[in-house]
Amino acid sequence: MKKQVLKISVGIIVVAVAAFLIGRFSLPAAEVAVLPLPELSEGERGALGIDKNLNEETIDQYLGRSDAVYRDMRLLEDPGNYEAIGGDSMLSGFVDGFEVVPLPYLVNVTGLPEAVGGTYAGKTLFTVDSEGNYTANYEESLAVLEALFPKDKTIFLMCGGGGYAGMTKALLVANGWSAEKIYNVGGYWFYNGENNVEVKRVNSEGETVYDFYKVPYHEIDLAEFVEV
Amino acid sequence: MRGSMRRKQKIGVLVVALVVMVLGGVLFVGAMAGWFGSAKVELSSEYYCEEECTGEVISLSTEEYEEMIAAKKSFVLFITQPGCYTGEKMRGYVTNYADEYDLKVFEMMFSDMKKTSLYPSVKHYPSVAVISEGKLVDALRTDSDEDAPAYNDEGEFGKWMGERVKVFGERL
Repeated sequence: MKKQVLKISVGIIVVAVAAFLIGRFSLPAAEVAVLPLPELSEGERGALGIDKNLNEETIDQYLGRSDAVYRDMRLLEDPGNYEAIGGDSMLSGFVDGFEVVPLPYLVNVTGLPEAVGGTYAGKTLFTVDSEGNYTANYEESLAVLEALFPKDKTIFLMCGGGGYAGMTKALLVANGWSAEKIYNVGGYWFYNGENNVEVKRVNSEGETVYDFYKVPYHEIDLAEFVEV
Repeated sequence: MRGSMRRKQKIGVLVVALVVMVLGGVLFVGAMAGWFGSAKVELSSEYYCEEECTGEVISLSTEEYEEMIAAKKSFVLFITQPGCYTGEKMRGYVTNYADEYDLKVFEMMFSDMKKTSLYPSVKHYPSVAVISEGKLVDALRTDSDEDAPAYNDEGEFGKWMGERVKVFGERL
């Protein structure tokens, strides 16, 4: 009798432990990781809105969440004149999981020095004035933002150095998004994690080429929209 | 009586010696920490433009950078990345600085800089590194509250540079 009770007890314990282990490790880790509240970094990084705890160094821990969207705010090719300085104006890599939505098509970029020649300067979904007030330029402007940045999701933003991501967060918050659900993860160039996707390569003929087909890119065709 | 006097003298000498040692230590540590102002860097002479050239920002490859380090050059290096708002904002400051003081300032892409010995002493861009005889002396840091004004005000940027780099009139 005692042996039977013992066997049953051991069996229950084994099943319970197995169930716990299966439940614990079968769920994607990212679903379990609790997101820290947004907190600004120190210095200029903080001024850009880059998060102190959830940034280029830690983003790998938070990729692949079903409750989040990941947006890289760079252009595939920046029209600024960088050849003279030997710079690469192309999007030459990105973090796997991030989808590219070029900020310059969402809102006008201000504050760049004239020597650069300016980034994209065409039509935009929104215009921001010198006092930080946003005006929608199309009937569809807000709907486009809502589709690309769902309000019920946590939004991770990244760009080259954190500037465009910060501007995107400002645009969203000004249009009613919750600041606590948006993280400026910082700049791709500071990323040294495991999920880097190279876009730039040298082909068999020694030419530098860019595999933009790898880049999940959101086209925003303003010609289809109705101007306000 | 004599013994007592000698003992007091010895104690007195020890106390004085101790005070001198402590003061000396404080002065030494203070000098290392820059409490009394760190020495400004005099750039290598070829980077000062006199009448034959004007200030400019010169693009540098990783190989050229390492050659300059090996040759123990002293120079200013602007680190940025094209197509990025944060870097381009500072470019104006650096260009104007080089122009105002007739200096040759160098520039390197952050993506290239990551392949050099300067990384990760300089971890983010934009940054300006001051290099003296092949060694990094100081660099603007984007994660420093102390350096934040230099990123947002050209006057503060000039002040930061002025505290670290000798311009032509200050050279020995």
